[in-house]
Amino acid sequence: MILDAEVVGALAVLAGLRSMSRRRLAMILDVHHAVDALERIRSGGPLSPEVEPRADVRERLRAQASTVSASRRAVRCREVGVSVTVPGDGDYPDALMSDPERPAVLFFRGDSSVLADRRVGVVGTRNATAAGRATAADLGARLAEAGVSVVSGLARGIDTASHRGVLGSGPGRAVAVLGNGPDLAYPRSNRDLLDRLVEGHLVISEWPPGTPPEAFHFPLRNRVIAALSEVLVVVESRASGGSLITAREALERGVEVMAVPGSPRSPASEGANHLLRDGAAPVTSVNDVLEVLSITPPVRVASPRRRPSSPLAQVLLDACRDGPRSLDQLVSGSGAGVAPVALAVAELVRDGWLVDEAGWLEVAVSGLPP
Amino acid sequence: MIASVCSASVLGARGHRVMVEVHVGPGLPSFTMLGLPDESCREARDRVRAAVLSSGLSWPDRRVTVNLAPPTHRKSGSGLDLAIAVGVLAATEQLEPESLSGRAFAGELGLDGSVRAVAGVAPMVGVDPGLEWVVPSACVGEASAVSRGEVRSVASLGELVEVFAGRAVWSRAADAPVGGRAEALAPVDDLADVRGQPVARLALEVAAAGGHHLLFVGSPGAGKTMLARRLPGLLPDLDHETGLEVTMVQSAAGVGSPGLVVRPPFRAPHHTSSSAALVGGGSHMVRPGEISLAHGGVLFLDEMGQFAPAVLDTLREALETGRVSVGRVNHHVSMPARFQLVGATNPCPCGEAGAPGVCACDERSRHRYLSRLSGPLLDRFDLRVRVSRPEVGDLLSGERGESSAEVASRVARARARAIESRGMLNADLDGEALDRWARLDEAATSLLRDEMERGRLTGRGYHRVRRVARTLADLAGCESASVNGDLVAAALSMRSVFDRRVVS
Repeated sequence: MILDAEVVGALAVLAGLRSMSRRRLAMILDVHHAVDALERIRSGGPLSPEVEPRADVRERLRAQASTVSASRRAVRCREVGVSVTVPGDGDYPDALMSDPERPAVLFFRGDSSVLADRRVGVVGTRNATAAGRATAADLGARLAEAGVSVVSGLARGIDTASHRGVLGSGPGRAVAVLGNGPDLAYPRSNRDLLDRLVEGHLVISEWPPGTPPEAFHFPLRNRVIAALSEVLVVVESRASGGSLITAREALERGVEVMAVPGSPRSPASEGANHLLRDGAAPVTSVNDVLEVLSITPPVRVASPRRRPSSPLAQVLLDACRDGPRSLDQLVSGSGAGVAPVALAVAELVRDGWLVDEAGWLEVAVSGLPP
Repeated sequence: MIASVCSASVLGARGHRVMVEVHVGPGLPSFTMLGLPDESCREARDRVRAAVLSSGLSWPDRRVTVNLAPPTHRKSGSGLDLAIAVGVLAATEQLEPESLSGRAFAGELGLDGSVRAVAGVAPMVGVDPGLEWVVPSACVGEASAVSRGEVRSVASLGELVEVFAGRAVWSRAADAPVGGRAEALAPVDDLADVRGQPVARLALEVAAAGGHHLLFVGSPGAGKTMLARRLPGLLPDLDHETGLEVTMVQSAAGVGSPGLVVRPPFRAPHHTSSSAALVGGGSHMVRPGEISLAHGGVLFLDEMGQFAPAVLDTLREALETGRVSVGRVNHHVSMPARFQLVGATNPCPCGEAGAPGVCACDERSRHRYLSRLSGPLLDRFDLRVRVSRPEVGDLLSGERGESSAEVASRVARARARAIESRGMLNADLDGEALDRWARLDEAATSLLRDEMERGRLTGRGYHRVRRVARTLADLAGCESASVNGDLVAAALSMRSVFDRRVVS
């Protein structure tokens, strides 16, 4: 069903008001038609008593609504290829219909049929380790291989890695839930990723085009990720990370939460390890996730293990297995001079054993066990 | 009656000859000063008169005119007091006019007739080192360092008159130690105090041996300042000429030492410093700034990202030319400023070294933090080294590292090797010289080719890496004109802090 331009414009204006909480928006749209609601807010006319906001909020809403034009908003949605959907509409995701805090309106780009696939959320910290990003990319790729769609949030780190993993694989597709308008890439470095996602994948937001990211949008965004997932995998999370909010939302909705175990010494895995302690299922391989979805994993051929050439290189590689190491630490630990260690490290990086992250050396993870 | 006395004033780090001409003639009693004295210099009028009277001498009840020739440049400060007083005494025949010939005077007068120290005696003496200079006792050391003639110390105007009248002899100032303040007063920070941190230690050694500018990047408490303070201890003594320049600059800035400076200075201006404090300045009297005070030694900028960008910008001229010039409406002063720059910065706002999974900063704020340093200035650093907090084991082991003396002897040999075969320190080698002196062996070539093919090494970075590798080779006592893979890898690892993706 295609909503007519007047309704699209009114929804885009209402959803883009800064003082309009998602909860209030849902309540108002429950009792008023969008065009009518916008008219009343603009003119100061009475809203239904059970949704009438406080006088000061009302005044702010009026001021904010009076500065934007509904028709221009509708044109903007059409220009950037954003579709609008509301509960009851054919494009509205079934997974959200029964949600207690379902979004009253969704703006999306791409192919909404992606949500008909099996769906796994892959989330984690923005400041991820190389190993964490490799795991996320791997999960994305291997889940997509099994035909599963992967839901994440387009943030830096784990989110980006999982999206890219899906894009480099298939047939499963990617779903990106944003905390800003679906026409904006945040972080900006993900512009190219966003452009690729709108081609055949899906980008969803509760905010109309042009809405900048705000800190308070992201916990709301996380609830949508949780609600859209059948299984939620936390790859890496610090002790107080946003992905733990997603995990909590998932638990409230009865979505299975899984976590990738990390070293107890790694702060980047602290949150994920806490989830495991509290009863989340561990992800030791992609098959663990597929098993929860009752999908038979595709058969893969394992590549043979290699070893680095020199004994010094082996010592250095082993030293990096416990977590990122600086060159100083490697030199002190190995007892060799700076020059030979630097050469061995350079060769390890060149041959793909180690990754150099701004001076921190980490073991490159080639893939999860099948 | 007329008398003419030789003295000097200081502008920047250089002295300018000033002839103090005093005319005492008929007319209403008055005292006029000509020749562009500034406010601080004009005050000499009352000081000189009081000093003469309190020394038991008489002040002429006539018209006194003092001319400070040449009248084209502004004279400032109190250093001309003594010369003016001597001129008045000579013009009123309280002194033998012959006693002025072949002599020059510098010093400030107290109201009681005592002669006090002033800043800038060394550059004043430098105007004509052949003269017999009469200076305040406290300044004999720096004056002797510059002078080629006799230096006389005087404690009061009365004493001077007695000596010239033949009723007393010159007092002997205690012979100034020719050794330099750095060595005499401050115990040298020893490298042995640094535990662990092998890469940072090596970087210091390389910086000392090759004259490379060095940037430390590390968390608070990692020991960046401690490391930087140890660089002067690794550098060789200053040669005579540089030592003279340093003595002059320090004297002009009023941080004079008791003799010829022989140890490289270490200056660490705070990041709130203004550009005038760093470069030098002042409206009338141009004073050497921190970068000139660091001439011949080490300029350490801690928290480099916190310096105002405009202030950092002023460093560039000095880094290029080894001098800094300060322009004012009516004069233009050039001061020496050839220093070795050591910078230090946190890797990000939170300081947690950007360790994956530990650092709380997002990439954008980290990028913004470091981009304050980016550009032409960052480009000057051949060495950019990450400093991490020392390992607990290293701290507790009680095992002291190699001492500064051992490292300094290696540094001296490497510097000698560089000067002997190439005529310059490695930091000054250009592309052509590098092709000749830092040929790459096979392993090194493949390493660098690989880095370049991956787009992680730019052309400029290529030169810098070879320069540092050449210094490493010199330190290792390697005589051949080529450098091997080990050294190139070590050089690469010492400039990879910011963005391993592109080592510029």
